[in-house]
Amino acid sequence: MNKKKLMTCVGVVASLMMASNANAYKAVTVTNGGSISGKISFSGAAPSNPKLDITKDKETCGASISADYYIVGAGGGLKNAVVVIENIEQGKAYDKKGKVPVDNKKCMFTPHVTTAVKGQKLAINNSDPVLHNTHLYHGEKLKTMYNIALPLQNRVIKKPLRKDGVITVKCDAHEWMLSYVYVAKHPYSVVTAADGSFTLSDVPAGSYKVKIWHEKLGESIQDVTVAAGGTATLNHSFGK
Amino acid sequence: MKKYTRFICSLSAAMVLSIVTSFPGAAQAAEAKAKAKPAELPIKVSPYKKRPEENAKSVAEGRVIYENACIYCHGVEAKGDGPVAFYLSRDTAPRPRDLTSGIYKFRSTASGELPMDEDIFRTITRGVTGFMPGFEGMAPADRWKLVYYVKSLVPDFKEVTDPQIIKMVGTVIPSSAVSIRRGYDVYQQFKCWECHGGGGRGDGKKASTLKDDWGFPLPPRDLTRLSSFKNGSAPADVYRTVMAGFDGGAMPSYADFFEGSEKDVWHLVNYVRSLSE
Repeated sequence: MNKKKLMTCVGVVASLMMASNANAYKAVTVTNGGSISGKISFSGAAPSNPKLDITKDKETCGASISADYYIVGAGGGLKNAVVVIENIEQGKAYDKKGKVPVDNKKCMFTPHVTTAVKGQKLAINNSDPVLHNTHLYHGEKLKTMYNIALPLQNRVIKKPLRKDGVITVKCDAHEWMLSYVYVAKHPYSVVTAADGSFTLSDVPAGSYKVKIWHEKLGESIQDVTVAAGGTATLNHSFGK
Repeated sequence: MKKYTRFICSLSAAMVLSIVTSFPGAAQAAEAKAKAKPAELPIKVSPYKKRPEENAKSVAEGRVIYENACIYCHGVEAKGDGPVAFYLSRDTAPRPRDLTSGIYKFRSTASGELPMDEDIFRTITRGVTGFMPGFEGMAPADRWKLVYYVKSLVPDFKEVTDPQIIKMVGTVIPSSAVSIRRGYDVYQQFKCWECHGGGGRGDGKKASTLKDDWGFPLPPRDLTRLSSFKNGSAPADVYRTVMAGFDGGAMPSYADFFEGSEKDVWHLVNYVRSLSE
């Protein structure tokens, strides 16, 4: 037997095995993990939300709806920003069968922004008595992921999220409807609360790049170091 | 000994590779693929047997055919911007497709999936009623080479090897007054009328604002005209359209809602077809 060939063989098999793990998040038991918390805010006068042009189904949708792009609370706290760790390959376990709700209610999507882990499923529901369709677009190029008809009320359709990144959710039938699902490869992503606060818990000690994303205000990446059992603070302000 | 080691090596490599490529859940997908029959293709299928191999040579040959026959509309770089494209529907959809986008309307696969090779072959063969001419006169082998060239423009075709296929459950129900009546109820219940209109004329309450993925107005089809059926008007074509939807346009997929009641789709097909008779 040729030794060189054997090594090549071992090498090929090993690299294939490694390839299977590349990009995959590994769930481990996190002991003495730290957390990242803080507040995302908007400084200055909050931009006003446009009035949406309701062109149909007014009996269900209502005659007038304000967009929910900017929700700025007391002290400038910014709701619906996403805080997500960019580079983490292993950490806490998560519910792989978790369902991420997308409800069509009064011709708006609820929630407006949500996060999910790649491989989890969207649970799409239509709470309205009219036809909706949930049209998912992936990434900046807005490539169609799914376009699902929802003709019947209160029947949940489950669809897997097979790609990570920003998913833009729209409804062709009601062109003003808009929401986002931020799909990460891991469970370290969170949407800010009404006061702009957030917490990412059970983070293994280490240095991370953390992204702050907002649908209209763009994104920012910050360096955060988490000590074992400690709490790292991350505050960020959009605007001037 | 040498032979044996090589065998073990390739066997274990193949096993790992199969785990790599099939994870996660692809075993079920492969099984589903084996069970599911792609939507029927109502074109002469004899050329399938003479299908050329898909390799660098046939792709290159496909490119030559493309540059002779397709660039006028689809453009030199296949971005849907050929010299004639400007004169075809400047302000409205559909425009010649950007073949590098990987977005396909006419599929027998689930919403968001790439089409089957046969889907692209069918579209090249039949064209798109009212918009793209059919190339039935082109030699089948050349049409296949075009399919391969068009696929080579979208890297995803190499990565996604097991698209989810729309199952064609049941068969065509012979049209009758009873079936059409049932189809009418389905049309109402599943709210087709909200876009296509009560009489199927494409004038439903949601019709006015519908757009395609590129922002061009794309009103729902007038189902009372046979010429409106871009994806074909045979029963199997209409079934496929209802179930798969049109990616890139507003028509959504109804596959989830008709799962288990595919018979209703066949009745719906009869109703929809009765509108243009």
